[in-house]
Amino acid sequence: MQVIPVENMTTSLIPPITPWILPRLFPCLLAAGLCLMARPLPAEVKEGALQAFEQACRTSMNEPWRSVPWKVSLIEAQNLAARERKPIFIWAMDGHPLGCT
Amino acid sequence: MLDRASTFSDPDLLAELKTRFIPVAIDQAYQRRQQDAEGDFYRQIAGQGPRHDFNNTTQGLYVAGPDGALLGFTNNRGSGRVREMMRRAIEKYQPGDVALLEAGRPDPRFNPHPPEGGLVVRVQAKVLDGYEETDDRWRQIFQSAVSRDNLWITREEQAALVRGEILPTLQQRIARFHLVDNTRGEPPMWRKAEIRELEMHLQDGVLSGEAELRTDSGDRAYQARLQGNLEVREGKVTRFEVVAQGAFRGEGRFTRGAPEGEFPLAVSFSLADGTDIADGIPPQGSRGWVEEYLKTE
Repeated sequence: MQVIPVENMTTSLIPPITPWILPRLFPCLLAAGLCLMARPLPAEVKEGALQAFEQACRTSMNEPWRSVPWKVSLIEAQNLAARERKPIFIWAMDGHPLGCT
Repeated sequence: MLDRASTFSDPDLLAELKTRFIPVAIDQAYQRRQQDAEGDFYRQIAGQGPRHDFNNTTQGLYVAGPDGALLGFTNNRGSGRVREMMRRAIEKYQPGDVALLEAGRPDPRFNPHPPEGGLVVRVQAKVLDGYEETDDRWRQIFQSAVSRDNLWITREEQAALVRGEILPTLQQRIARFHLVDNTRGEPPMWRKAEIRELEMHLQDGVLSGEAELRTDSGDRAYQARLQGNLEVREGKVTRFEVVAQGAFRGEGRFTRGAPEGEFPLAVSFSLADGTDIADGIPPQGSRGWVEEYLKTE
């Protein structure tokens, strides 16, 4: 599968402001949570669960595997490997390893 | 999921990977089927390994030379085993001049692109509670997992959001393909008939809604409320921050190990900005059938 590199996405797919998403998401998330908690919830949620979700989402965006310069195209990887005379390491999964689950 | 938290959390392995290899991550369900240079190269490599039946999964960790010669394979997630496979592969590898492969015309069936003029939204989910405590490391990884997927929004749906409407196609896509528990693996998506109730409203930039999803047998269900905020600037959505929260029940063939009974599941949606490597990955729900995922009616 050849995925459009994010940097090559059409500009209309990328919002003009970049760094604010997470800091702004979670106040919204918390506000939404408080709003939701004002009504009976279909499943009991322990106090602090939404904050834990916020923290987990933040942490997951900084996991070590993200520091690897993964290619998403084998052909691109082959070209780079041939130029740099290095072997290719292929992480081949059911569902895309960088997302989907 | 397991790989991210186990194999690829080992600092020594990561250092080796970054300096001595060209790392690539793929959904092999595409490459083993696609009829183009990318697929040919993958089948050349995987065909030399133990998983060479391309009608079945070939998932695993491979090392190959740029000439396509297989140098190592493992489907074990232990970082020690993987490091050992990498070490042996490096020993076998003999660098030489190799021609650069040309991509040619990609097989369009396996190269879905985000809709032009649309939006990409990050989706993350987490089971908030309900698991039994465990000392098992692998179960702990699943139990604390935050999933990651992308929601694709079409140009028409973005235009409707700008007008203050959420088109039914977008509501159904969110419900069917993104209100899922994908925290332990590839989840079953909801069929259209399994949407029992679905309402989303957008007023003054505030999105609210409810969804009830349930299989006929009732073995899997999610009853959720959605709440969030949207902002629009110059005819484009510049903020899309929504959270769904509710009671989930059940599991799928590849998501075993769910908590017993009902458990709280939260799903967050936030506009992708291209800074995350996963922002460019097609939605799991589009896999193999992007037309159904992006259906307009």
